[in-house]
Amino acid sequence: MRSSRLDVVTSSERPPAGGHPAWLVDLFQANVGAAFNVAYRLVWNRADAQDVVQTSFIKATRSISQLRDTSKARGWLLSITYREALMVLRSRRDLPTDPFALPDRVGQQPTPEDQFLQHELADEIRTAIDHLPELLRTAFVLRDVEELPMSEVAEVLDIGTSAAKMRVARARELLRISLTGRI
Amino acid sequence: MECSDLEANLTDFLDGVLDADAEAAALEHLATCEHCETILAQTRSVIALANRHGRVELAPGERDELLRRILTDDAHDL
Repeated sequence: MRSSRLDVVTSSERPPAGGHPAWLVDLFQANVGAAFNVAYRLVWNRADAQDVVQTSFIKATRSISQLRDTSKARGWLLSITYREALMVLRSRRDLPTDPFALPDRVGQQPTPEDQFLQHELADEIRTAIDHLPELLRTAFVLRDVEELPMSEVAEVLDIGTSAAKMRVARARELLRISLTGRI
Repeated sequence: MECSDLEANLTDFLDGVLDADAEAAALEHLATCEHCETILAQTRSVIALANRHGRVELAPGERDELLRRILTDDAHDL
């Protein structure tokens, strides 16, 4: 069934002849973690987030001709991932609207540092990020977790730089308030 | 510069993109305002914590398998 699905794509959507160009493989390898991070914080499920990344990266491969400037490849790739995650999110009927109903972090691998004194604070910042409003959360993750420049955050979210800046600023403020007394 | 001005420019200040005059005014205000100094320090802590601990990681096996599926165009959902 898989091959028959692939047979219906148009020639312009097919991967480049001879497989993936080296720069695209490098791009995928460098950004698969960031894409997963963005996707997970929208769809709240590791398997679904991996499916989002897979679908997004394959879509990117097939629409590679739309990328005019390879210096903007990371923003382009993450914007496809972001839109794909939003589509998955909005196609669900059972959205967790109560922040306390968000799923546990099943399968989360603790870093060695987590096992020492900062364990609780590390957990608190992750939980606080999870509980940010959706619009603010992705902007914050892109800027302060993945360290994209503000202009690239704006590109991924398809908004102006000023709007991106406002979302990041608001997210930082909410997190600062929620962690007051702990930082 | 007032506290409200600093708060409005905090993101640009943290990102180091304020122009020289505005940055000097911000630094001057911070030197005399404990409230804003605290907000700045707390915000820096939030950013540092998020940067260090905020990532939801793929396990190495998951990452390799995901990349394999992508690079073999295993597009069952498309």
